Amino acid sequence: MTGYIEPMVGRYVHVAIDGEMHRIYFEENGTGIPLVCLHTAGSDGRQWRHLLADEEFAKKFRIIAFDMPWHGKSNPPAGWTGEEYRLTTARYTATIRAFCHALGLQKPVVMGCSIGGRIVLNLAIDHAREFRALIGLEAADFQAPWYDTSWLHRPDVHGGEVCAALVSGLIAPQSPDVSRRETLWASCRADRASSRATSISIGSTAICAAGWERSTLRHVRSIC
Amino acid sequence: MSALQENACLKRMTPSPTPADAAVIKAFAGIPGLLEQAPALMARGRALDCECLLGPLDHPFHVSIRSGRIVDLTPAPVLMRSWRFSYRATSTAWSEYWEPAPRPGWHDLLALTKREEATLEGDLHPFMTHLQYFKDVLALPRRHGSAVPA
Repeated sequence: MTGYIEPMVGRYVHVAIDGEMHRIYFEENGTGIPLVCLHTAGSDGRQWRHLLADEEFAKKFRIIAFDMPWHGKSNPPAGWTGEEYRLTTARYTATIRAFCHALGLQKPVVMGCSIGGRIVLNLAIDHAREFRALIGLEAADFQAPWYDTSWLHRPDVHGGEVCAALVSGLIAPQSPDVSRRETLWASCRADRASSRATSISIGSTAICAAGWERSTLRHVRSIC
Repeated sequence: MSALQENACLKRMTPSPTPADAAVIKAFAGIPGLLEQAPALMARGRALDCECLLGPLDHPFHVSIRSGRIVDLTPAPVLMRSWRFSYRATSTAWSEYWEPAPRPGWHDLLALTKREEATLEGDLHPFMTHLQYFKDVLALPRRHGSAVPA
């Protein structure tokens, strides 16, 4: 064997979320403090591949990145009958807690980016005792709408292309070309995959674009 | 009033370009030539036929796109010429957008609309179906190092 094999491994765990069984895909590497990583809206755990493969981090942390249900390799639940996907603060919170519980993680660190960076605020407000630390990357307590998400999900527009073009505006101009291309490739494909099952990324991206749910906003404001 | 007289009247209603405007206008006029040197970008727009209004706020161009190629770019106003959508920005915005490494908020067409340095009007369908195409076409002066001073 001559090929370099990256150290992370991927498996599925069966998780009951709000009483419904989900098959959730996750990748992990390392030993030590459990570090659960949350991907951005409409994306999947691939975003964390560099951290998952980082030797230094893996010495102290059990790095875990899971695909949200309806995202990446985590399908919709078996009971799904075609209704439109909608992510709520309560649902997202329940998913993270259920996933951590299913893996038996003891007081994990949860780190999320963008929409994942927002939900950790809610975890801090309502469930702080369950977590060792909560880290928000590119997080915000509120973001005003900056585009109309309906462009992502209509039959006469390629939602994946639009999704990637919108994401391109979130990439710093000085980002290496290889990283930019990888990000846009994943953005385009993530949305395409989601469009087969109604509006997976649309539902979560909508929260990103149109403003976080009022319940979270209210809570965050209450502690500011 | 003849058509020529009406056109002259329209042009009189347009403010004279400042030196900053003039530099941006000159750079804009070079975009069709730059696009001809970017076959992959033209190919991305191969399904696009569109009349649009692009450029500085007070000195935009009527742009005709056929199969991803800019076949005409004419300074507005042109009497009774239609367009489907318009993307116009301040000269400062274009100068900043064409910087080699634009500052945050000046780096993206939609970011410019958010900071109210640009306006997007009309039927947005062709713009949204080819969002990355328009972002890249309108960034061509940056790529080719012919950006104007910010």
